[in-house]
Amino acid sequence: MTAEVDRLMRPGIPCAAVATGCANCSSVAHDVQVTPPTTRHVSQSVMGPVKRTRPLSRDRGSKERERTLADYNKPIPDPDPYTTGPFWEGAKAGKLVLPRCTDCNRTHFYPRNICPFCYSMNIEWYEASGEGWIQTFAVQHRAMGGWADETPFVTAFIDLKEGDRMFTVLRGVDGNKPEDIKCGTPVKVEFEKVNDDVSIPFWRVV
Amino acid sequence: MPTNPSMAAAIVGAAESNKIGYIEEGATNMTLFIEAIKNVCDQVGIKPSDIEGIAAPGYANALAEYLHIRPKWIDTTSVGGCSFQMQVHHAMAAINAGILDIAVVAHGESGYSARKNNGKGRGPRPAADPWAPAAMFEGPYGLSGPPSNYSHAFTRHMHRYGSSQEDFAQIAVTTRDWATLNPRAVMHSKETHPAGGPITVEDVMNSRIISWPLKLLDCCLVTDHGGAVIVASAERARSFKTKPVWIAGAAEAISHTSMIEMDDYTRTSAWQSAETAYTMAGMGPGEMELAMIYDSFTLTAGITAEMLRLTPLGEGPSLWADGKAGPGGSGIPVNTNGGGLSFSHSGMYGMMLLIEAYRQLSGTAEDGVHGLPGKQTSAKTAIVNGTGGVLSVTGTLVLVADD
Repeated sequence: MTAEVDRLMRPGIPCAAVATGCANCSSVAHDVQVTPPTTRHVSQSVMGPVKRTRPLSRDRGSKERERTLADYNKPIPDPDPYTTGPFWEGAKAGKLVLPRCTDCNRTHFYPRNICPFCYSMNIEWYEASGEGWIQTFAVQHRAMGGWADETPFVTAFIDLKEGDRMFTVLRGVDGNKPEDIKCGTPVKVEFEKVNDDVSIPFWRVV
Repeated sequence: MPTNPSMAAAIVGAAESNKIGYIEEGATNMTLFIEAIKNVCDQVGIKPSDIEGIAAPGYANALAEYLHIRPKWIDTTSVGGCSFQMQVHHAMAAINAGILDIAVVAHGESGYSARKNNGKGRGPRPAADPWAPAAMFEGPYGLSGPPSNYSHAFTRHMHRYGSSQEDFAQIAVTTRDWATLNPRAVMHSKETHPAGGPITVEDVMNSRIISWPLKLLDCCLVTDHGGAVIVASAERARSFKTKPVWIAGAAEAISHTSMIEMDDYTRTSAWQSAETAYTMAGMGPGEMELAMIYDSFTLTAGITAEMLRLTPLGEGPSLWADGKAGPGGSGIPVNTNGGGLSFSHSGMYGMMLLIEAYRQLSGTAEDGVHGLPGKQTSAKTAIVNGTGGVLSVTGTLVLVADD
């Protein structure tokens, strides 16, 4: 899978530009991968077809996009394909796909082209459990744009089971009862399709 | 050979723009910058052309051009509200290295007027980059500015230490008491602002929720403000009209840029910058007689007190409890200008910390600019800590009076 992932990560960079690498694409990004036996690799089926019919950029202005944007009136991320592509491709398939260093085996988030723990540049992507815990949270009583209609809503930082952290709007909780929400509560990821190109992860109290 | 820069430089003057707070006729960043620089030069007895180095967040180059000066040291560090503490640190190091003798560190920010002027006059603001990590991974989830971020740290503090919203509310109450001694404070009295001093814990608890657990009165003001200080070498420090206040320790540190990367929501990098600054000064928290602590929110001040070792971990708000940090209180005085919570806060509050620390340690807190009787403390030492970004970056100074 990594050949596809690697191309997604670095579109426009010809494989030939990389000095050493695998037989398929000459990329160095995965030629020294150390895969622990428990790893569930992101497979072709998880990632979907490699060919992308459209770029991830939202600066296109198709009528279809305008319609979906009108339905989802909150900020839609404009994914950086260079370092985060597999995350968003995974999200479209309903999978939490995270980056992990193949040298120290630690997961990091947000995605980078270097491991922030050991500074290896050997990064692979894998499908994570989608489980985590509330590290901390707040209740937003004031917001802009589409979120203003949903106040009070609960935002939270989520500690991932595999390590490191994500941010989210928490589901399955009542913003009017913050005293009922506890740090440390288990949560599971789910994805909302906000347009044809982008699905966004949200976390729900289980 | 490197030498310890402690006491190599002093702050020799500190002044504000002509008007601060809610300036009804309006202002721009540049008008505020220039008024403050002009005022501090007059106070010290120099001309802007005597300035050898200029520091201002994002504005050092524009100011040099505007003033027709040709500095040999330029620092445009812009990392939020602690930029000024860091620039004093940088100026001290450059002076210690023999690069220059006189620098100005300046601030001008039309936080209030820019709202009326549709953002004009507020200087170049880089467009948000959609590919910035925070834009992709925090941007979709409805955050709306600093309060919506800081509130998460508040919740974690309560979870970890069993602290309460009422504990932090006391910070706002005690800080407002200082504002009653500062007629320039926006929240000086009920005549100057509906939430003017004095206030009660109940007032804070009953104020509108902004981002739970932060209520309106846990949050700082958004005002217009300009300020400037002159930093001079030890050789020159006593040659001006004003008293020097010595820079005994200085340091800076960073822990993250966006809160998704904040490892521990109950700690900031002030833990590190304070330790470095204390070590440089050869002094400890027990020797500090005044604390000027960035209070963008009650939460910011509370946890920073812990980072500066002024209280045990988890007990930051106890520094203020029962008015201990207020006028005539039994503890060390904290934020004697009324703080960002009730004096003035234009967005980057660090300059106001510096100016008040200078006034207190130079004995001009009452007559410097309109301080009422009781505002001047007997402090001869001060710890000054700025916080920038979303609890991201800190700059810490240990200052010592001349006598």
